Amino acid sequence: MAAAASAAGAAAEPASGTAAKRFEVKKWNAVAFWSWDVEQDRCAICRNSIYEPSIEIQAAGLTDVTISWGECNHCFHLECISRWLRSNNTCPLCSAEWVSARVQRHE
Amino acid sequence: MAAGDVPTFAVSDIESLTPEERDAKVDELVSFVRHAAANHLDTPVDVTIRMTDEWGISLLNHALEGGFSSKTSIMPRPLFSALYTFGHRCSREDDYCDELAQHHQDKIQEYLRTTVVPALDAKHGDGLLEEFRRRWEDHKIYSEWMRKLFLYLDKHADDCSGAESRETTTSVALRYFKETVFDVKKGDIVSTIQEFVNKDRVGEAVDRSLLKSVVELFLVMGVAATKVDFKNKLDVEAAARDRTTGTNETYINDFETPFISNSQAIYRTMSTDWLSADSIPAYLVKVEDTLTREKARVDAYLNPSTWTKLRAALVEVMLRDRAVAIREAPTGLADMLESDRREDIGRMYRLFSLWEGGSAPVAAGIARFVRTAGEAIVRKRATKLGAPDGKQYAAEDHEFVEEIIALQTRFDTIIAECCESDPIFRKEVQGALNVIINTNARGESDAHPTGELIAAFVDMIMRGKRKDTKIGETAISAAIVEVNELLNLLNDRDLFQESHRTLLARRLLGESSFSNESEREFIGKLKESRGPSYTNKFEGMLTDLASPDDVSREFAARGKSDFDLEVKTLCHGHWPPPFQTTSVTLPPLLRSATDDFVALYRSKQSSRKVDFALAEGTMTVRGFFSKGGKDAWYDFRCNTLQGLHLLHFNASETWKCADLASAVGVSPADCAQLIKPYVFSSSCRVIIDQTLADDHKAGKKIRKVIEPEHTLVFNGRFVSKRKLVTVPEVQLKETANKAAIDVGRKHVLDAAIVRIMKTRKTMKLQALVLETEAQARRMFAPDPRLTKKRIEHLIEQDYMERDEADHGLLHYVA
Repeated sequence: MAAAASAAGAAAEPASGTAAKRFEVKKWNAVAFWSWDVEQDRCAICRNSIYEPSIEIQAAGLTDVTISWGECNHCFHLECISRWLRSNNTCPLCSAEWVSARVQRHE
Repeated sequence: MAAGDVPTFAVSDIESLTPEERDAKVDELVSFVRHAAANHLDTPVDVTIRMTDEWGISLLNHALEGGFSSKTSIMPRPLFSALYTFGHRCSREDDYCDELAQHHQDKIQEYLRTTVVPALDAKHGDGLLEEFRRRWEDHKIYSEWMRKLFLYLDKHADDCSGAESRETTTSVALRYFKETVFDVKKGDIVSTIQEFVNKDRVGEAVDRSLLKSVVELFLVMGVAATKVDFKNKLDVEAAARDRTTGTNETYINDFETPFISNSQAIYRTMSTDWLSADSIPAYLVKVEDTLTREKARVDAYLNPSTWTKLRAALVEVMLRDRAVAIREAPTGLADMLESDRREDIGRMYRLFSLWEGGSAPVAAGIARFVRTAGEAIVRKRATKLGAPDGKQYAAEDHEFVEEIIALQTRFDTIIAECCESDPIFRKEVQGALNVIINTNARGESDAHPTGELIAAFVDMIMRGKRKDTKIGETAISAAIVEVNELLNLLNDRDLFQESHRTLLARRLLGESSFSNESEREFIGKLKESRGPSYTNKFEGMLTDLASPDDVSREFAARGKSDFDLEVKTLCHGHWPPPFQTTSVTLPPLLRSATDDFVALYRSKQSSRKVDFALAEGTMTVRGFFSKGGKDAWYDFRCNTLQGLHLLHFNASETWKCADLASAVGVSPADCAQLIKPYVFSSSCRVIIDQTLADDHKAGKKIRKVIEPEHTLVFNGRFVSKRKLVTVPEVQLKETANKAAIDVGRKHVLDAAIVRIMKTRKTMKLQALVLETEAQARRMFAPDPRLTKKRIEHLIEQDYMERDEADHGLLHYVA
């Protein structure tokens, strides 16, 4: 059998090179995960995950998650950063002036 | 005026007179009195006394001793008003008040001493009680007439001198009855009552109404002794009835106390006999029965206030003094629990609740039993784990969970049924169960598995199975309730949370849940008891699957020429960390498809990253075979990684296992695990382990394990009855990560600490620790050391600072 031909060597290479169509993909039900394209996955203000509602929303018994980005690419729960911005005008993480880049919502 | 002037009257004559003659006699006295009044004759006290004695009191005595058939109209009205008028003048105009008052008292005393006491002395047994009752009834009549005759002594508008400080005539009459009759005879009366009650206790018939009225007289006598001024007899009985609240000293001292101590002595002896002859359950039946009967007795003829005292006295000798002996006896509490005698347990609970502190040791005894039973369950698990095949029980031991659930359910019912859901009992039993659930069968050094075991149990339930049988919605709901109760007792609830998340992900992605409704139902229960933050991720996972996002839909709609690609895009934050597949290389065809998808996704969702989880998802791969010159193809439905392994056999029909692993980009161990079904499962044997086959042929003993150096060969002659072959699922090793849980705990604590300080601004360290732990308890049982460490950490991070003067005081730094 072909197994006798032990082509010891290239680790990622087949042991013997008899290429042929033996299998082909017909259908693939794939699973992918998305994540926010940011460094941190916790809101630095309320310390909850940015995939979960903020403390404030949680306390109200709701489940909405709305995330707000600054130009500095730091993000926080919308409620959290709004409260912060009432008395400050900088990003809590990098102290750069806060300029809102976008707001995203998901459930 | 001299005493001789008064018309004479002899009581012995009265029966021989006709009514007319009697009226004439009375008229004689009436006109004498009128004459004296009209002529302002003086009224010396001796004349008054003689007249009252002869005409009034002797008539009264005669009547009471049975002289007349009726006692109600003893004296004609004209007679007593004549006597009263004369006496009134004597007391007012001639100021003989004190002498007349003295005479009133003397006559009462004389009557009681010479008539009533000898009459009582002559009687015994129920005769005595009846006579006493009759004499009291007579005395009421007697004192009422005496009051009428001496009415001028009581307080009036024109006061008889000294009336202010004098007892009323009624009070005098009462007091003398008590002092002269009752106090002398009460010893006899009490022992007679006692005798009767004892007869009643052994079931002999007694006159309960007689007992009742005599006992009531003790109350009346008690009121008589309080020297209240009574206007008439009716008052005293009403007053006696009012004072039933146990302040009646005569009733208490003369009757109740001796009665109770006597009863106590009787039952002490009796119950000692019972206890030595009967089993504990039988003994308790007798005790409860005794108490019921005694209560009925008190209701029938004693004062209601006596019951509490009598019960306490009986409970003392029958139960309290021997509580330990009763509980610890061979037929005691442990035996009742062992043989599940609910009725007896309930009786013990009721009886031991009758005194302060009686039921607490029973609760402790039940808890001890639960603890022992639980320890046996844990030991059983330890034995299983120690056996050669013990490994399989490490993270999955349904029998263990079932037994714990059964134990909990059983004692929940016992406490509800037998102990009136007593919170103390509930707490004790839960405490015992808590110890059991949080005991590690493998010892302290190992990670605690119960959270994982429960999650594995839930996994089985959610797949619609229990104890090897299929179950439906109702049974799942019932199991959900039981599991939720169990989780209340678990300390490491975050461990359960992680394990549950992993298994839930597996069920959802593998579409193997019985129903999503059941999953939601369980999550709803958890949310109720653990709060929304505990279930956020679970809910997120279900939502992710329920509503595929727009990009995936658009991509699917586009269609693909070479093969169908459908992508579920899930939120990374909700799902457990996917199995690491970063080193897996996709074949070019698949790679370009995923790149297309990512590009489309990024164009729609610029702030999101998207990564394929290659350990998840399913693939349908078509294989081409030929046996005996006959070509055939079959479709294999398998997991994505399993599919990728098959595709590598296009490049070569022979692979060394280690080489195949590195070509796919997984470890040799994972590779061996993934291709296991292709090598060993008869339904899909498309790969041959040539090394094993050769060994087998050479007659060597083989272990069915694919080693990295084994040679794998494509089985071109594969045949199957089915066109679509489902490849059995294999599980790559992934367990709830201890390190991830530790990080999670730190986050929970940090978040709680910051939250608390933010609202309080300034707080004592100890108070902060306690409140933080209270908030964290929904997730796990926090260790105070860890909490303090996190506080230190946050101080270093400048979230807060210590007070300069008081180191135990913290300030929030905004």
